[in-house]
Amino acid sequence: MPIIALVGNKGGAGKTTLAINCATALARRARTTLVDADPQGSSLQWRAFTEETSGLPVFQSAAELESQVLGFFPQYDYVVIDCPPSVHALQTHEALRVSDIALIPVQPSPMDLWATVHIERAVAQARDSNPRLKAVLIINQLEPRTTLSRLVREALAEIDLPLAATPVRRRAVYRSSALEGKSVFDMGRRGADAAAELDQLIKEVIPL
Amino acid sequence: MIDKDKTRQKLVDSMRKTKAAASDQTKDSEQSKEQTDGNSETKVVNPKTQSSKSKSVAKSKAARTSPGGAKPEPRASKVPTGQDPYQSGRRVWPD
Repeated sequence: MPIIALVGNKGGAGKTTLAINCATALARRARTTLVDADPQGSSLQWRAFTEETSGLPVFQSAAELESQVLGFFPQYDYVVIDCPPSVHALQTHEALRVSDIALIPVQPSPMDLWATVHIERAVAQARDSNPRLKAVLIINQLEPRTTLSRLVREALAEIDLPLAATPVRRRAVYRSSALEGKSVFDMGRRGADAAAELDQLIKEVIPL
Repeated sequence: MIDKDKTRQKLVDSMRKTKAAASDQTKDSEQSKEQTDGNSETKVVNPKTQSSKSKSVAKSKAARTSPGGAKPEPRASKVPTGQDPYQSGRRVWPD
């Protein structure tokens, strides 16, 4: 019954987009729910754009995130938590304390890379109370032709956290699907490459 | 190719600097936390208040014991030589 937190220390890294799409991918395999722990409420807003109620329920995080998440079992097999864009936020601390896996999307940009340095410490602190916590860096919005995208792996080697072999490329379908309240898995051919990429990533980082 | 190497070096250097700064920040915050914890346990005495209080006490004592108005000995003469100001208790937080 894995609990998966999408964690980051900077806005715009792609936490919510990954949370929505990974949760949808998991929901195709097993009973999954998404908890929106980000005060911006983007995941809830995404859900509100569609009338579809089955598949992936999205909940707003409660004041007691830990007891809320644990209360989802055994009703759900996977709980995905979309965290706020700061490791100093209370919700992020609580999510790290209760999660089995922390997925940390990082864009190939200097500001994103610098902000990620602080996550290493936050994960180490969380492991004091949650030793089972696994944390994985994910290269997000990769643009293979750019120099920074080519160098991002070397830069992330400076952080003492494992890096997923599967990167997530920058694709317009992530934005267009969000606008329709859908995931890339619901976008047919347009979303096929993105869906295949996410399936590969999930297979790599989340026990199924 | 040379530009790429320069960018790589800059990127890696910036990551190392950020990491070092984050580590220093953590150490500082831990130290200040320890100090705060320590301060909450032991009462901190304001040196100015303390010195003015001790002066007034000394004055009143002198007034009681020596009606002739004998001056109290200078504080420095009471401090044994070879001791630093902290050991002698003359200086307390904040220094």
